[in-house]
Amino acid sequence: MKNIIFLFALITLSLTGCQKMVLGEDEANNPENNFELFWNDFDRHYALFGVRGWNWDSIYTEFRPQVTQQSLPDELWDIQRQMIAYLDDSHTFIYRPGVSFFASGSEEDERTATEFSLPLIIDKYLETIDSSSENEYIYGNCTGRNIGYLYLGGMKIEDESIIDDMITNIGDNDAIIIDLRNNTGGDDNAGAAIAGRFADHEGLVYTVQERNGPAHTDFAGKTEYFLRRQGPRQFLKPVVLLTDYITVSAAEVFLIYMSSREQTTLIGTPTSGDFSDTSMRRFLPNGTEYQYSIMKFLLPDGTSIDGTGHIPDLFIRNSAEDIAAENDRVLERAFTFLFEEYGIE
Amino acid sequence: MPSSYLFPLLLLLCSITLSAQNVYAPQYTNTFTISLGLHQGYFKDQNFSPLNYRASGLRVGFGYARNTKGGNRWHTGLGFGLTELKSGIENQLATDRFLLDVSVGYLKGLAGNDEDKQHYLGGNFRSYVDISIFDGAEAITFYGLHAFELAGALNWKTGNKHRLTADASLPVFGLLSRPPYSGWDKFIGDNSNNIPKIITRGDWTTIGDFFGLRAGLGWQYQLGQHWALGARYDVAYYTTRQIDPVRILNNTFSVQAVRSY
Repeated sequence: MKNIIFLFALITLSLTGCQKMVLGEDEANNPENNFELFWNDFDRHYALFGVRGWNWDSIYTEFRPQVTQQSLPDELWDIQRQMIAYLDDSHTFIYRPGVSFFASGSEEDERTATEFSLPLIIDKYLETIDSSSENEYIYGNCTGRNIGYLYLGGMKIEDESIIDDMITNIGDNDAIIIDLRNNTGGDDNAGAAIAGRFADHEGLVYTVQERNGPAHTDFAGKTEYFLRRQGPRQFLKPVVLLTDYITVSAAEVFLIYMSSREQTTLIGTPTSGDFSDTSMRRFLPNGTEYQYSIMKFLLPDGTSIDGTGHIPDLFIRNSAEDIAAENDRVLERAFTFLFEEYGIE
Repeated sequence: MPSSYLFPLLLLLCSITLSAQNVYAPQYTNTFTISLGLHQGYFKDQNFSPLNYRASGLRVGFGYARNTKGGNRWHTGLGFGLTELKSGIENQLATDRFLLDVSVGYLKGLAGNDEDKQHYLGGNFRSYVDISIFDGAEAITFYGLHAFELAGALNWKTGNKHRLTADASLPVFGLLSRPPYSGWDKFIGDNSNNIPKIITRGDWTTIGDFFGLRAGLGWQYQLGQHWALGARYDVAYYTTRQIDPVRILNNTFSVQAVRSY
């Protein structure tokens, strides 16, 4: 019996105190190693160096000499912030839990947010039929017009019957305005499901390739995505999509689907231009966390609109003063366009 | 391990098991085991993080073994682990880690087995699934190995009411499932509600592309004719360099209740 207890104790001691033997040394938590891990992780995994034309080596050349073993945490943070600012990609961010957060490519967001007011639309322009704060949508008929209106604050519709109900409720209008301003994205599949209710054809709309190797040109094979008719009824009349600089990610993927149909017009400003899914959260020994883009989206002709975003057919932008004066010039431009182009009012 | 080593090993195992002549007839046909254990381990997955992690949590296990009249044994097991990974970085959230292993196997009693000492050799099929989820699903990683194992076990009577048990297994061929190079891809996103599909995506491969070793040592105290209580230590080590290097060491100390009839 004593021998057995001794044996258990020996195993316990030998196999529970051997972290270094099993895993190796911890990564050194010093500024230089944190910089190296950070730069190398982007170098090995970030997917958009090619399509955006970025030279990541130049970032190393510029910033590596600025990091020493004596660099303070805030100094390293500022360097890392500048490194990802160069990428101009809102799917790329760094985060010090409880301390600070920085998202690349989001400089316009604060201003853009002041140029849109959903309460203004609800009060002045809309006879609301249904809404959901959880799924971030609201739809109804534009007051005094034969035009339906759907606002999507995110691409989060989980129950597709909601979309069919929406088509039933506003699909008798002569046109529908889909407002994607301030849309922060979500699920690409939600966009595909909504677009399927507006599909006037079926076909390839984009491909996705994940980064799969250490070279900047290493990508997995293409996964193809198709516009498919979905639901019992499709709305095939004119559609106007309203965009702004915040419109991003799954909302932009939704725009790819929608742009492939006829009688579709984009009005507003260019979108964010960030299509990729983000990576898993990444970790550094100093506690900094970050994420980045890991895949490239290509249109069927092989071109990419990553970085540039969707360019509207009609450029127009509200100012904060327009909103304060209770005028949504972007929405009103859509009304004018529908009347001038299709005689719809 | 190159396949040139693998096949002689398999042949050796077969020759041992086939040459076994059993004269020992087991006292009990069926044995059920339930165990509750403390899990403590180490974890490093470079696809997930460059950091070293320490794991702790609970593990629950269920087992059933059926002894044949010829002195051989069928057995199956199911284990769940609910653990946390901590890196040691201040203010960093712990990572939830879920462990699952399901096994079924056949062990052939070796020549010379008697009431006091039994030795077995054979094979298992085991699915070992190790999933780590950080902060909701801000980061995930997984290691799935669904593999055929070489296995051995012993059961020694060490006193009037005491028994010592031990077993070990070595996976040699199986389906290895890992996250993609980028940690996440459309396949995972499109199948996020179908975890079995995700953790069975991979390649069938042999030892060398992965390495795993499981071993356990237990002590049992007979309470009566059919019941025994026990304590057990299990260790499992898994590694691969596929996609990114992984090293996992799981230690579990458990107490057991054993019912035989």
